[in-house]
Amino acid sequence: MKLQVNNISKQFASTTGTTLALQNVSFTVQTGDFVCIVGASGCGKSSLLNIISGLEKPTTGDVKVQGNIGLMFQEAALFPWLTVFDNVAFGLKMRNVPKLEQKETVKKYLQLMHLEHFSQHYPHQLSGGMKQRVALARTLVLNPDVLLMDEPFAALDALTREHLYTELQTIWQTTKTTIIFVTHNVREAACLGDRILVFSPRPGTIKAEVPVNLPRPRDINHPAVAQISQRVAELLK
Amino acid sequence: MTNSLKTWFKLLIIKLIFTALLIGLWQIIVWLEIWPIWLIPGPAQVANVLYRYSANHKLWLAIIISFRRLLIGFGISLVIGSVLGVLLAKVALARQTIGFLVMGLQTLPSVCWLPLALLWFGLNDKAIIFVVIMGALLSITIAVQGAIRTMPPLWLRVGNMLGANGWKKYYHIILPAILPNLVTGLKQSWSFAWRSLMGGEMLFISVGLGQLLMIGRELNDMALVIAIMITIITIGLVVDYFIFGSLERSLYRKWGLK
Repeated sequence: MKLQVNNISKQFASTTGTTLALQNVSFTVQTGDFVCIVGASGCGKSSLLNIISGLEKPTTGDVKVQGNIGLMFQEAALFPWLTVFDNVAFGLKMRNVPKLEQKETVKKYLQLMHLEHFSQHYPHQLSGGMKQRVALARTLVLNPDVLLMDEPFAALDALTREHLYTELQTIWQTTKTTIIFVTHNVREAACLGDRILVFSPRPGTIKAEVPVNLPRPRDINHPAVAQISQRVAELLK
Repeated sequence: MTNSLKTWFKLLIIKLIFTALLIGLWQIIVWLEIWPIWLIPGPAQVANVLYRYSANHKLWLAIIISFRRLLIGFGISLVIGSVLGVLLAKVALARQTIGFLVMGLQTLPSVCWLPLALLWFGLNDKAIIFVVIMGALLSITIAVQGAIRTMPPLWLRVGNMLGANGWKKYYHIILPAILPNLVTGLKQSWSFAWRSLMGGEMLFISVGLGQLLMIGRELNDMALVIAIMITIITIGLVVDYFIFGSLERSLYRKWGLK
């Protein structure tokens, strides 16, 4: 057991009263799992990720995590004053990892992301998809036990996204990192996850759990993926 | 590279032509003799004064002394202003208390500190440096505060995840993140400091550029007055373009802004 979410509720106080963002959410994620959380916007998905990462406190319930957590957002949020190499090396530098080891590790992950020719570029010289790949590399160099991804591909164009689905699956298979992937795109969830947690909106609760037992790497346009996403879409209605 | 050099050269030529036209216009006004020559001296007389004062080193001495005061005053302002700015950006109580004071003091023209400075420090360098500090301090504080408060909060979250905590957060994230905005703010603060310095130097025997300007007035030497004014403007332009401007340009290029 790597991550356990126990009966979490989250209430927000606002001027118009209190809003229940999450209600009695419980699930367990095993080591090496790839779990997708799907729901319409405003179903408390981001709030849940913030709670898991420790950024927010739940109103009730608790989260048990073993190991360190890596985060990825919709925006790459690369540091524009650093080169691609230095962006990826940032976390290692903060941990005072020896220079030579930093260089080796960064090189390895840049190769994994097919970015080795861009190590001396600055973020503004990269495309959106490349930026997200750098962001992923920056998170992965720290070898996180759990990787939380908050709609990381939502801002990208369809072609780039399709390419990244394949890459993310390959990377997950090599690194065996536990991934919790939040999205509002059912097709994306069906393509990537081992299981899909379907969220209902306001208050956010787990409505259903859909297992996906398809061989990898999966293609987003594969009929089996389409079939599962169809089922998930029905559940969301 | 050659292309950007070409554009740079072109812009320089345009500026030189414009300056030449201004001097030509000035010369024409002098030739028309609408005002007596001792009120509007010609470019030649002013150039002559500039030559004389730089040949006998009085001008260079004045520039060095003025710059020394400016650097000390601006340096002190930068240190105190950065600390205050971070405090105001990060601590709500500081914002509600010191922030209010800073806003109030910002409306006070810095030369208004001169009488107080003269009574505290006497007729000396300290009084002038004090006025320079007061001229730049509040503007630096506001610049630092504003730059920190407008930086994207996501960078701090990412930094936190990657392990940039405590002083590392300030040195590795906040400082580089605010730099482009900060340099633009500091450029303005520098011009405040420069104005305060001239105001302070004009009031008593102080050897600096402001003093040379006042000597011109006392000797009824309009050519000297204009020569020093041109010197002050030139220094302002040079610092603005070559120091702050080149810093700004290199940061903007790296970040890919504009």
